[in-house]
Amino acid sequence: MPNEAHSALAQMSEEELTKMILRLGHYAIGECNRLRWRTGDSVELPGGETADSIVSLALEKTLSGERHWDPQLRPNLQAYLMDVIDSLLNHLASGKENTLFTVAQDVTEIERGGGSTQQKAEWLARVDSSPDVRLIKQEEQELHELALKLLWKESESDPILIRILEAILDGNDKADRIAAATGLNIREVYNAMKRLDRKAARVSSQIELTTSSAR
Amino acid sequence: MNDRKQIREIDELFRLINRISSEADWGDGELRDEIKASGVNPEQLVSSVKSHIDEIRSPIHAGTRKEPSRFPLPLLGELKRRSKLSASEIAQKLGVSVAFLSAVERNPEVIPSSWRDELAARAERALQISRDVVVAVLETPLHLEVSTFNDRLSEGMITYEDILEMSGMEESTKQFWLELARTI
Repeated sequence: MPNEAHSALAQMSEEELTKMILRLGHYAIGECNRLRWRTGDSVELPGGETADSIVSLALEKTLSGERHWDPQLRPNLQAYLMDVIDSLLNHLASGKENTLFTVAQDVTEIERGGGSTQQKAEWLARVDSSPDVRLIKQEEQELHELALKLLWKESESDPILIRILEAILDGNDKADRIAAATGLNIREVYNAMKRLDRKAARVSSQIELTTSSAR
Repeated sequence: MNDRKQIREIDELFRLINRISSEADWGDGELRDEIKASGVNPEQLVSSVKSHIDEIRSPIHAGTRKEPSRFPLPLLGELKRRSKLSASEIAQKLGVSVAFLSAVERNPEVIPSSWRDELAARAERALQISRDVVVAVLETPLHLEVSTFNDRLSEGMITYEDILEMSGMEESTKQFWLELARTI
């Protein structure tokens, strides 16, 4: 059976391929930032993998047929590859090499942009039967709340971003749904999503930096 | 029917932001700037992934190959297969960059024999892979049959100085390889 991904790739111009790789790389970096890694470094992942090796692996698995791309079901190859990237990263995140990094943080210290002195950090293995599981979950919850608070603060000077954030939190998970919920046109939504993406990256880095500096 | 589900996890919120923003119309320059801001070299990213695609596609596209190669994979692929390490781990152990190894494997005809010997010695020392493997892989005609994206860009006019220039390695490391090339 012919591999449709091979054909799709062969039909791409050099420019189109470059653009797709840049988009996939950008997406993979964003996903890496979202996860807290054993290495405490979102560029270098467990097992020595990097954002570019993850993109390469996603392509390899799709081109080899290990992941079967069906253009009838998913016409957009790039979107399909993003799903594969998600799957690979989730696998890495839950793999045995990765442990959950938690930090007993001083929220106000992080919000002030500092945070290295008031924190105690420790590596905690992701073991469900651990007696510390509740504590880990609580700390994780605190970290989530902090991230949301920081994202909100980053966005508050941009009313469109606040509207979009509210729409997403309300369960609108597609651009067209966000557009309908906010009354913005789709172009405005996408432009705002790019701004929101940058702010989310800043928040991720801030949290990453804080947890890393506490190690 | 309303199938909306309120987002309660920040993880899910960040994933959606990343996913929806990835559908937006990003310009090449914008994407490169964003990637650079994350601490990743966009040129290296593109070059590394394209090189990998070349590796994967070459057996299918090189249908005119006359005889089977002793080493079916290019340098990085062969080292990865034998060491079970990732490209970045291999590069780190060999004291070079992934971009350097990619460029070497794509342009074996321009690299000085002293580089080949040095890489072979390092692979034996750091990866416990026989130096004969590296030497043979870099000598195998397979590489001349593989038309890579970057090769096409450079029209085959690449030199070992260009390889060093594109390597992203520190100046002192580049200097080492440069001097090594001149010892021939």
